[in-house]
Amino acid sequence: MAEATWEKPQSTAQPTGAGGNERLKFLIGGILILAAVGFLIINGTLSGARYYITVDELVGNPAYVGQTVRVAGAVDGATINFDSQNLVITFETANVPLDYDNLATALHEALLDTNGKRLSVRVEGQPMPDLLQHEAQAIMTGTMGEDGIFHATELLLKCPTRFEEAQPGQAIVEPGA
Amino acid sequence: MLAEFGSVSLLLALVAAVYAIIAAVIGARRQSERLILSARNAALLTCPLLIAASLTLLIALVSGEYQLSYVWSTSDPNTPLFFRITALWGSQKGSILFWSTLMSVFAAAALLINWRSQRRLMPYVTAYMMATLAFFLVLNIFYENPFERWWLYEGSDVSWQATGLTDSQQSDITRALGGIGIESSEQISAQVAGITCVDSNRASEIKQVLQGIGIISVVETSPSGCVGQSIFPPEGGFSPTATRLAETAQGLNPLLRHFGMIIHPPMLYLGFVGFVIPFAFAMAALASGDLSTNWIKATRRWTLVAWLFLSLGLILGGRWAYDVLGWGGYWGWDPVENAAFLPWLVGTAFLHSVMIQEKRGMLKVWNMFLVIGTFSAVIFGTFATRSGLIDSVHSFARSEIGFPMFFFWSGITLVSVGLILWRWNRGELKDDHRFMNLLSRETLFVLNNVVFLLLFVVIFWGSFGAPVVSELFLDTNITLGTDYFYQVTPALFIALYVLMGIAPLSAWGATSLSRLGRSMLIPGALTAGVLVLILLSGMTDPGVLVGYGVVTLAGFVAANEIYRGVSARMRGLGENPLQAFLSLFARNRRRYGGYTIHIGVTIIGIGVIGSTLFQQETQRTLSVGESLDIGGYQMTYLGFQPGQVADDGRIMDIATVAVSRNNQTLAEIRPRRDFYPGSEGMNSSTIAGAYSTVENDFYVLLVDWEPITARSATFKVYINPLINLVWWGGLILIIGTLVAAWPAETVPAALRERRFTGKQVKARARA
Repeated sequence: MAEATWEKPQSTAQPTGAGGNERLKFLIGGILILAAVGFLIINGTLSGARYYITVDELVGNPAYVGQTVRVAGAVDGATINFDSQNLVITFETANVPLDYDNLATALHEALLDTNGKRLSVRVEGQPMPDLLQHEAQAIMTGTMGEDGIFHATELLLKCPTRFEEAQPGQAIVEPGA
Repeated sequence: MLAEFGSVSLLLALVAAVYAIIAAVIGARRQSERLILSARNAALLTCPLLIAASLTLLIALVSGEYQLSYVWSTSDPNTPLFFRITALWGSQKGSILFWSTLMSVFAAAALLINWRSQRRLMPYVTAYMMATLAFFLVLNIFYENPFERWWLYEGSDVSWQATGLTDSQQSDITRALGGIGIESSEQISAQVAGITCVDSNRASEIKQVLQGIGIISVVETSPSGCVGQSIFPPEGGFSPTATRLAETAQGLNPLLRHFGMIIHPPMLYLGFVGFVIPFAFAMAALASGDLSTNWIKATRRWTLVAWLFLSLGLILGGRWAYDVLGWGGYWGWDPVENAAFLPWLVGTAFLHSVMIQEKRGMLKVWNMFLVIGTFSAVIFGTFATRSGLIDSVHSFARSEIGFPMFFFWSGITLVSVGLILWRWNRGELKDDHRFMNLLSRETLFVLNNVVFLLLFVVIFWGSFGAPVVSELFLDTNITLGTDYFYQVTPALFIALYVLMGIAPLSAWGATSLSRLGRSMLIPGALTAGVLVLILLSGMTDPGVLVGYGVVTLAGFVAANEIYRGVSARMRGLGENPLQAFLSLFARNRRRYGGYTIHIGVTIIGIGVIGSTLFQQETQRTLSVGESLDIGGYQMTYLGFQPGQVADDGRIMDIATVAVSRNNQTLAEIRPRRDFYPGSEGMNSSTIAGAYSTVENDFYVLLVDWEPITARSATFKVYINPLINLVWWGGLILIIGTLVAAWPAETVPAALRERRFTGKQVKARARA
């Protein structure tokens, strides 16, 4: 009967040990799978790893020239230039620390500091992102060229004023008082 | 009034939830029916209370109560009604309230539906569900309260010179301020640090403390107008006038004004919240000692429902990204996307392996780990994306909830793993059978589980593991880019599709290779046919052929199984094809719903391979009347309509282009740029225009245009082959899940399954 093969009564279902041969097969199969995935992860990590650094660490550091890195900076709105004919975006960013209490304040201060290091960025082949504006945080992946310009292939932008707690400001204070 | 009502409802819900936990646990220990029923009623009570709280916030949003800071920051007087409603989950505070509400609805439904059949488990189920709910309510009340209001009050500032301070002085300041309960000094500018808006007693206290450690340049300014948000008014605080607030209100983030974004978060939440129920039942089974398959029977449908919503949430999220973010793609391997995908992976593994426990009484421990892992992944994902642990394009605010969430996550994970180990150690989770044969359905299901979990590990490592480990141990910050995911995941996805093709054909216990080969004959031949067609079309890349081969094979296997079932009924019972098809599905919803899901996943796979590997793109500036060529299509710039004002106050600049092929105009599409005059920060968004067919999407972005006249404009054009299959496959997957989860008729499930499966096996033996 077919029934016996798909559901045995509980009482007769004594755990029977798999033959040593089968067990070995399971073991070898398992080890092979783990080894293959381990190899994939290590390989992928080595080739996909990007140091995530700041503008200060990147600018003027020959160690990073030609290497693919990820860098975070504060966008200076006055320097944004978009050549829409050729889809070339250029702008400058100032140093923002990777850890901060409040992103909006950190970006604001980064751009007030006029003596700090600046990183010139060039992005090609992308439309102008809606979020690229003054005091946005740019997280860029790309390589530092010999020319001192950072050639970004991926550009993520964050505008903290839109996302974090904004305040009504002093404007509402006077008439109500 | 609204704010008070909302806060009080939230607080009462928390009290009810905490009472339900205590009463349920004591009631279960003392076997007191009265206490257990009382716990149940308290748990049920959270549902109307939270619905009341959500409705309160909704009324505040719709009627424009800008005194509530949540309303102020997610809507403005121009916001249309529709987006006022969706603003309920448009930002962190509201979304936690919404999440808690959905969860209490699920909990109430589970209590009402499963109460009679699972008496022994229910007290513990109540306790675990309410513990989770109580945690989110604590977050909602004490950390992220959507009912906070704006207040005006008089406050003083204390500031001091920050330049020239040594590092040790800086840390002295931090320590001294910490000593009087001030976390960190708020920066005023690069040269001056300070603390703003405290009352005058506090100001003098701060001044004294700072002077006490030798900072002399401390200045205290006299009280002036301050703005703050809180539940209770600060001393001497009063409400600002509504009209002034309305003028400065923020409006919903432009990116969120899209249908995908409107239903995507609730779907994801429903999926996330839904997994609470299987989790609570599993934990109840461990706690009560009723370790039979009762908990699995009770939660099977709940798991499917949660899985349905999670899948829907993921698909809609992809659709939103594709329509709104304007980069021509739908999945970017961003940590936040991955965080939602991780529970899906474990949950899917659970849905499969649970069948082995039901049918064979195996994998009891493993299933416990999977169901707890799914819920743990849900909470981890919520924690990781909302605490600012990882930098992502999806910027939720960094907030205070990171620590409590981490605490809760590690707490539930440790407790659940501990309970499993305890029961295991007592020998109560022994399997009824062992694995006998490499080619049996149970082994293939286990392999499928292994692949799902490996995908989980690989994606977890890429999104969270590597960045966190490098920061903790290597003192550098390493992130893994998309190339990591493209390198590591395809092999695992291919393995998954291979198993999806073989496993449904294998039998429990053992399958002979020759029988497996015979049932593969028809699907294999069909797949070979498809591959020949692909080769004839000029595509010879071996990777592509392998990809399409395994994906279509899996689909053909599922379709062939359905076909065999239908034709067996037609032969055996003389039904017509439609009758046979309908009754086949009706008689065994789970099995054929599952095959339908497999077909959906196949179609998604075909779409993903096509749109990932064969995307074409170009960009050009065109004058009016000029055209560009891409992939056999021609696109002509026809004209421009600047400054069109929409209902919600946004200004649209719209270009019109014609898409043609072989000199035949196919469609006119209108890519545009929306500008939001009222919004601060991001105030414009580029909305793509697309011409969609089965074959591909012709996807156009308006990049720029010549000022005023717009005689010329720049476009970026993508051709995304087969991308619509992703959405259609998603739809089929949803339909399949609905079929599988649909409530069964009155015949007891166990009986019906036994009868029917027996027939199946015989039918197959005959075939």
